[in-house]
Amino acid sequence: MPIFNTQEFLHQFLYDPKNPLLFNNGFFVYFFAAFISLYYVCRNNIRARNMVVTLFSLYFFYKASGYFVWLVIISAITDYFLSNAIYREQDKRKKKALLLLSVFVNLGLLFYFKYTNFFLSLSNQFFATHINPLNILLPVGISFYTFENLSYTIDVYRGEFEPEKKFINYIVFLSFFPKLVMGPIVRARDFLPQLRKPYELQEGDFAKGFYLIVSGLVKKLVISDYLTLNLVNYVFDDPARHTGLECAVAVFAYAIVIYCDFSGYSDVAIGIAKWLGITIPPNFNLPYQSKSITEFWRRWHISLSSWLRDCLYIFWLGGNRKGRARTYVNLFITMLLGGLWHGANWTFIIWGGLHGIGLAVHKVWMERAGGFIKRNENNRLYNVAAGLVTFLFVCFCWIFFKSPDYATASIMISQIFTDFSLSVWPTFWGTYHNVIWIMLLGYALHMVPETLPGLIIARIQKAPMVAFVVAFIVFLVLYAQFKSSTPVMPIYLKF
Amino acid sequence: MRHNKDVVVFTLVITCILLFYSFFAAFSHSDFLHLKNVSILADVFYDKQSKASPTSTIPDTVIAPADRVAEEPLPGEDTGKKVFSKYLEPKIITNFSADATRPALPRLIAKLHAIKNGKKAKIRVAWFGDSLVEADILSMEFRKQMQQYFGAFGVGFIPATSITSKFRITATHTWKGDWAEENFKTKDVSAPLFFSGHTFFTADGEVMVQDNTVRDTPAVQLLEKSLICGPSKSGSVTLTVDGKQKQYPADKLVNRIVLDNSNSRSITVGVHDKQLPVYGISMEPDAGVVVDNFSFRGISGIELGRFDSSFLATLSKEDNYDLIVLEYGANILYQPNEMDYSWYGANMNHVLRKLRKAMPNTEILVISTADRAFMYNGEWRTAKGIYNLVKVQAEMAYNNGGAFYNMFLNMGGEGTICKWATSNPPLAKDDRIHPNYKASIVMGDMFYQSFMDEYNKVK
Repeated sequence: MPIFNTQEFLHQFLYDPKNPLLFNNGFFVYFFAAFISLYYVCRNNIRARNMVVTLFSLYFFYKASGYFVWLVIISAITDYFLSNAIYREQDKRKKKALLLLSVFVNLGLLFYFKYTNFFLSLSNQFFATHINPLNILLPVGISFYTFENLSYTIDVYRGEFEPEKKFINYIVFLSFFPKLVMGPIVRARDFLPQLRKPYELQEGDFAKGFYLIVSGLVKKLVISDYLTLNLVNYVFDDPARHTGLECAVAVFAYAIVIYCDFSGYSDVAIGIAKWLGITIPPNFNLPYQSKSITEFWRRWHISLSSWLRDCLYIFWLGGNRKGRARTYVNLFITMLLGGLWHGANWTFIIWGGLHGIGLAVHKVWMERAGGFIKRNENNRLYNVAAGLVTFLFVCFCWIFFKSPDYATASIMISQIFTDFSLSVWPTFWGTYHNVIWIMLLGYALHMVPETLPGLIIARIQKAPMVAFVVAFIVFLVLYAQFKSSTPVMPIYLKF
Repeated sequence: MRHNKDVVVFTLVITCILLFYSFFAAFSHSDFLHLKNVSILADVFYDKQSKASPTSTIPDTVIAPADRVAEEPLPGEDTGKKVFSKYLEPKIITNFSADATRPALPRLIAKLHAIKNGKKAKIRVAWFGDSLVEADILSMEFRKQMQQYFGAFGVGFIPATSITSKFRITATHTWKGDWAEENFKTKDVSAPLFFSGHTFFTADGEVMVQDNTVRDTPAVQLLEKSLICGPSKSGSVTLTVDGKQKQYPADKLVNRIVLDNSNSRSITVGVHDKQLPVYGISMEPDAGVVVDNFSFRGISGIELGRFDSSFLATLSKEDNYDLIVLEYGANILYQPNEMDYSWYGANMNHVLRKLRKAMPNTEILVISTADRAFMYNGEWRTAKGIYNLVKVQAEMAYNNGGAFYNMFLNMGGEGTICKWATSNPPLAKDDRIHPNYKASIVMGDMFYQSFMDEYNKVK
């Protein structure tokens, strides 16, 4: 006879570091049901509605990251006051000083939590210091909301945006729960005006949100988690024990894993926001269809790449305004820091550096072979070759992104290039054919035309409610078949 | 406005359906379509038994299995009083005999004593397993120590091609040409599968093997290199051995064609008959202990039931394996909440009966699963059903006149693999399934010590 455990029931409401609140937790079902009911009740009272969003968002963050919720509140207070001070200040030097103070506070917190131990280890390594690493836990989502704060104060400084007068609106912007933990990184100028509008969904918004949520969950929970647990982790844990063929397939599988993991979570976030009447721009746009590395960065983690372009490459480094050589250096530095943003590890720095070199090389190629590229714009063979080169380069870089250290990445590369033989394919297929099918499904979903989701949404938006309920139950049945006892944390949760 | 309502209605309907189903699932024993996986009440509403600590599943009293399956005792088998609970005793290999002075593998031990006393004979051990033994580390340690003590060398069997060749340190193994393969996973095989679970075919392939176990032995010692293959349609086969072409008879169901008996420790063999079932190369001494590693990734041991009986009988007659070691577990413990492994015992009883019937002179040793962990409520813990599986594996040995070694207990029992994965230096992979090289050596050494304790029971 099952027992109702009251203690466990009460514990569900508290932060559990082993089980942070994510969109696929059972608790999220209750959370969202309670939230949407209150949100709907307060739909005509903007202030009350924003209060509901704030309280639920901060509680969501508490359930995901514990008492680090105070960091979000402190960040919001600091930037709210600083942005208004920057806006009011007429003296350019003081204005700049206030901006620098905002940058210092935001990056200081990020640096302390994310990079202290990395730089201590560098100091121990290069200067023979003997400083013990500090016991610092990384607050979930800090990289995302820090960048949102920074873009906000930079936009205000540049005069592109009038700062928010109501603190409640600013904290809703910063803590909005669908995107707080793992982005997308939202720009205040896109987000804040939507908070002042009444909650009113247009025809098709419900269907669009539903499509994004369900397709995002399938990508994350079915495709990505299955490949992670059944191939990718095995191989990356110990590549020396696997043949070049297994290592190569694991890299191609990881390309699908990271895409489905992050874009899936982003889609769910965008879909939930859509249901709340908030439009968040897409974060991914079929990135492996890119025909150049520059195009890849226009399609991959769009909210980060556009942040890096606007706030780092153009605003701080000067973009391409300082000569050709400096442009290449700026591209390299931007991507190097973009790599470091992902984590305090050499592998991320190498990953970012490789992408920086890739972007610079592509820029040179565009300048030198512009005519050739234009002539071949519609040449199928050229486009396939360009797509393949881009995809293989991106996959090569993923080796560094996924590997825990440089040594593992080196072994992985060495296995692929020195121990590759198709003769082990029959055994490999025998063991991993399900993995290959799921991987092919991932690639097939990725290769659909860009217009297809729009067509599907247009089709389903007229469907009755019962059809949506049945479709969601079908998804739950599918998820039940794939759900593993080992929870797979979203990759970007640790960033 | 209606569209705002859609979101609320949809969310509340789905929440109610999930709540209703989860409540129903909490009181139901069936798990239709694994839907219990999506229960939203699983954390607060649970069965007392399913949440219990794995420790509570240790049998308080061990009842000996009643249904002894094997019809006849093995020649020389201890037929005295048996105590099933001996499988829970640490550091021993047991055949469950109440008489602790008698060795668990009497015929093998007697043969080893004869070798130690100067008799020229060959002991052949077939070590079956899954990915835990695929790198030939644990079996390498046992082989090394046995060969050091009883005097012999040679890595034993190497399959024609192998997915694990690059990280097998006991042999350097490469191949060229196109090799087709049939194995345990192939639905219909065209020739009997060898102990390795594979059969290979090539029209013009080549395999190169260098035995790395003989690096330190004096160059004067000879190493017998053989090709193991099935029958050729013409009754003979043309092979290229180290560049020289020669014809060899191959008319038996399983042929062990001696290619070279020099002190060279490597060989290159070219095969030019696409219908010849090729199994692999064996590198071994003419006398002493040979330990063949027959690992196959991802299997549970039930697959051994696919061996052809007449093939097994021929193999037994020609090669005379003295001992079969069965070391499985990781792929049986694939469901974290599984507690009942009787299905596995029933299937393996068929396998063991088949092996015993076809190979009556071969003793069988079952090695239990090693520790394996799963994530329970965000925490790595030893698989809940592991004690039940170990017991089922012990019953397999008990019911079929075999011997048993409790690897799970001897490596440290519950929680060991989790400790090993996080120790510094680590002793297990992050997957909490596979012990690493260092740990496998320790496990191999512990097994050897227990084996020698049995050996030393006979003076």
